[in-house]
Amino acid sequence: MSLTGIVLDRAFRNNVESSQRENLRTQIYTLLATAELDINNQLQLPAEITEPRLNLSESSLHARVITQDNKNVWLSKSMLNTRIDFGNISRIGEFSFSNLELDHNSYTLLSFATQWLSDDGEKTYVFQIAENRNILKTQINLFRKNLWLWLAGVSFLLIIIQTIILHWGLKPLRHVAEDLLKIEKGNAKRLTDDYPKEITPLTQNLNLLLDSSSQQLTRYRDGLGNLAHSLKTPITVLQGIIDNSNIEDKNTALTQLETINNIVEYQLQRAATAGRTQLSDAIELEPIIKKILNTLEKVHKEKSVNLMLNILPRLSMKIDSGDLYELLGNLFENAFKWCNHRVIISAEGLNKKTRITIEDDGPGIKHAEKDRILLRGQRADQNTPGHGLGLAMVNDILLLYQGEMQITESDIGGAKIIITL
Amino acid sequence: MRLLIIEDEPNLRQQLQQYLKQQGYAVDVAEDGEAGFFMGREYSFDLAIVDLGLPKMSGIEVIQQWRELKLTFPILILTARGKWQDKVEGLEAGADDYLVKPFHNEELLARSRALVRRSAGISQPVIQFDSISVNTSQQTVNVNNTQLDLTAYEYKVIEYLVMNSDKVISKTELTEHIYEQDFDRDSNVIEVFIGRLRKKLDPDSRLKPIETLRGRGYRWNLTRLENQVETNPK
Repeated sequence: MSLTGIVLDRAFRNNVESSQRENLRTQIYTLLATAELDINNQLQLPAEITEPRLNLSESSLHARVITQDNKNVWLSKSMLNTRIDFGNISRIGEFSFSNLELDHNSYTLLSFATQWLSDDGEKTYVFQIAENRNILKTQINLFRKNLWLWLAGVSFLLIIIQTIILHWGLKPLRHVAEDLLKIEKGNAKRLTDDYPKEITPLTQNLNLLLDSSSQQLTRYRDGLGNLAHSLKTPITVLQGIIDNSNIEDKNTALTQLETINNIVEYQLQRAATAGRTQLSDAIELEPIIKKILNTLEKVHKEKSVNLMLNILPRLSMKIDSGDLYELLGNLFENAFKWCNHRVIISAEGLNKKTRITIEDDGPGIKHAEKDRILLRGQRADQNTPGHGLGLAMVNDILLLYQGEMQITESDIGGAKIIITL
Repeated sequence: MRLLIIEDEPNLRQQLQQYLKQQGYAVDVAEDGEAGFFMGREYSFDLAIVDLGLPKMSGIEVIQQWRELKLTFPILILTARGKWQDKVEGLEAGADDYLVKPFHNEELLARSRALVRRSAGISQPVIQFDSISVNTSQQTVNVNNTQLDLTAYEYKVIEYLVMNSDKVISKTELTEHIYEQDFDRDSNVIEVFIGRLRKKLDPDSRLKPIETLRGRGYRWNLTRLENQVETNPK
């Protein structure tokens, strides 16, 4: 904008100045045209000139004609009150411009020397004209003022328009930012497809990144699963060998092996649950509960467990499905293992959370044992086969999802476990 | 009773085979899913122990395909991943029980026995017939509370007949469930076993526990005494 302003200003000024110069030249020509030699071969010009400004005593235009010796041949009426010094005489046939500062006024001076052919021979006369530049200056200043005012106005308008366009143009990017926040919170898994095509490369690449990072997570978990598989079998073989052997510290060896196994299993399971909370979809509880219970009923067929279910239909939770299986699987399995005949399971929604209650009619869990159970790898009854990591695992999953577990006594005689998350 | 073990890790496979043979089973093994599936289809088994992480064909697939062929023998899954989703998946595919590695061999044995009993409709390890009592846990037979002196194969014959007491068992079938695949068999040996067993079980020829049906096979003729009391088997 400023650049435009400067360029325009300069152009105007040049224009104005060259106009002035042209004008002065024209004036000289006019004077030349009206000059005549008289009977005495002296140059004469009329007292009143066509150019009205030369005829006024107070004027911005002054002209004179002199000889080479600086003797006045003619003076315009406007010349009478001024003391303009025209300076050096130009060469013959040449227009010579100069500037003069006098009494706070700026003048543009033009000199033109010419030779007149007369009966007495060639005589040189110098035509000179001076114009006050103040008007010019006023013109230029006015122009400038207007110019800058308009430029400022246009600039301001442009800025406003740019802001609006940026704001509107960047809206899709803000949209993307909001969607990314949703993904981070776990309410979505990918960016949707309806963005303007200018930013589709961005969103597509973001989706690739999200997919790749969730694939990485799956690969990591699968890798851990494979590790578990390959570690467990040698441990099993080792256990078989020690079982069958007669080494001195057989029991110590077996206990150590069991410790190794527990540590491996526990750490692997914990590592596998890391990072899952962010991408959980909502899962319906009822089908998964029924699947787990089918499995348990099959395994514990001999027991003929009397099962009472009270599940709110279409109840769902935002939890990774693997975690849900582990959580409920371990809890239900304990109930089946410890019960005499009866197991009662109910699930309901409560203040945006889900509450699941599991009761059995077995021996129950004594007060002192409650805390011990929740410690890593402890089992309440060492005689019951199975991996004591069960309830510790449940506890870990609850921590991950900010849930809670309550252990109390059931009305039917055994343990009552209430989990909320 | 004859069982099949499908396990790809050779050390474990051999260990289990040895252990279960010692415990009185005829044991066949396979080291990948394809071979295992084939064996389960071609031969008669009373139980299959299948590891889930198998090469060539997954354990789950083997189980699914067996069940599709209407093979009904009980199946126990072995898994290194204790993940519940795998357990549920395995049982939904058709397995009857699961065991997570590492396990004690005794636990494997107890569960296997329970599964075999379950599929024979028997809920207790000790089966009582009049004066004869068969203890499937200890692999012993008592007559009038005195333990009989039986060879391993004699016991196997009794066990199989007793567990399938509602059916007529041909010599071929009996042979198939007593010996593993590569055993050198002679079907006449069965007749010898039956003869000896009759003398040991029924010295006075009073009970006639084993009946011969000409051209068809043998049948255990005694009825079970149903005074079983429910206790926690696990």
